[in-house]
Amino acid sequence: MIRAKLLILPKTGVFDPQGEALRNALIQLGLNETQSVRVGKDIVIEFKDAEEEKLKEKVEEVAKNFLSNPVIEQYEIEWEKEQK
Amino acid sequence: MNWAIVDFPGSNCGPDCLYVIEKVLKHKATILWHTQKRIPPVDALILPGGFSYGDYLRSGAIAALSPIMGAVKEAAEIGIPIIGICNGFQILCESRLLPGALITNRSLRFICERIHLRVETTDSLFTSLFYPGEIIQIPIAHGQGCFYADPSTLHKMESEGLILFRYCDQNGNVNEESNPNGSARNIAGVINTKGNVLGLMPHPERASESEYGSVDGKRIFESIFRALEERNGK
Repeated sequence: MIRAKLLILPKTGVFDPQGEALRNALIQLGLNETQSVRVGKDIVIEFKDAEEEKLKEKVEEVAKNFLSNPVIEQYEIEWEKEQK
Repeated sequence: MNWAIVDFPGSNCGPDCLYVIEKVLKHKATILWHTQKRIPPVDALILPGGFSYGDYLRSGAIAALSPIMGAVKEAAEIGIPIIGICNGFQILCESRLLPGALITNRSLRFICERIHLRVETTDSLFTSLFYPGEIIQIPIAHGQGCFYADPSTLHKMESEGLILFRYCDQNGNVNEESNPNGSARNIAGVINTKGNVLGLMPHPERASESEYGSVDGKRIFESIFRALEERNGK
């Protein structure tokens, strides 16, 4: 089984009000060193065994044009493979 | 005039638009379900507000993949007037029919209030019945209405006159205080380069009868009607 873990975050320069609200809360909790907080989303997708290279290509395409919005977001993909 | 309203699972302003088109404007209207792959011959399309697909992933992102959106893109291509209201605006941006994106309001609050807009240009299908710089009132109701585009896109939109409406105060001042959601340059409504696709966060269907305190929204629908009449030589 192959697993893709996507981390989607607002692009640098895009104001993130959730991150800002959280930053203020962390400072209130005494974490005065907090400089910035960005809030994004995690998407974990598990795949049946497949030809890895093609799968990665397809996932990259979908991540770029659907799972993230290139106008406002950036993404990273981490791959994991589970041995049976 | 013959309108079609595209309904997605989670759209909730379609019936309001239908009411305004049929009962107030006395035009014909059809509701189209999102699974349809074809759009019957119509004069104009409305993508109403709501929370298509629960706004999962991002507002409008999943609706942008609906079967009907292929036909909506074809309609846009051949010049049919399309108006996306609130969630409809988000769907148009996610479909890349309009530039930019709508993100969470700067205040993080869902805002439902009557606001003022400044009409930036009357040289469009959607604003010909206003006068330049006119201050109008149309309510907003959204949690993710903060318009974002990168600086070069904003510059291009401004230089090409693609910004139709900006948030302002009652005197027409466009500033931070009169910006309800943090939108870039107070943008409330934009059109595509071709000029036939409008996206706007305010709800014109909720400002179409005097009982609601404003009929400024109705004038957007009427502008489309007049433009089509002129196009047809009437």
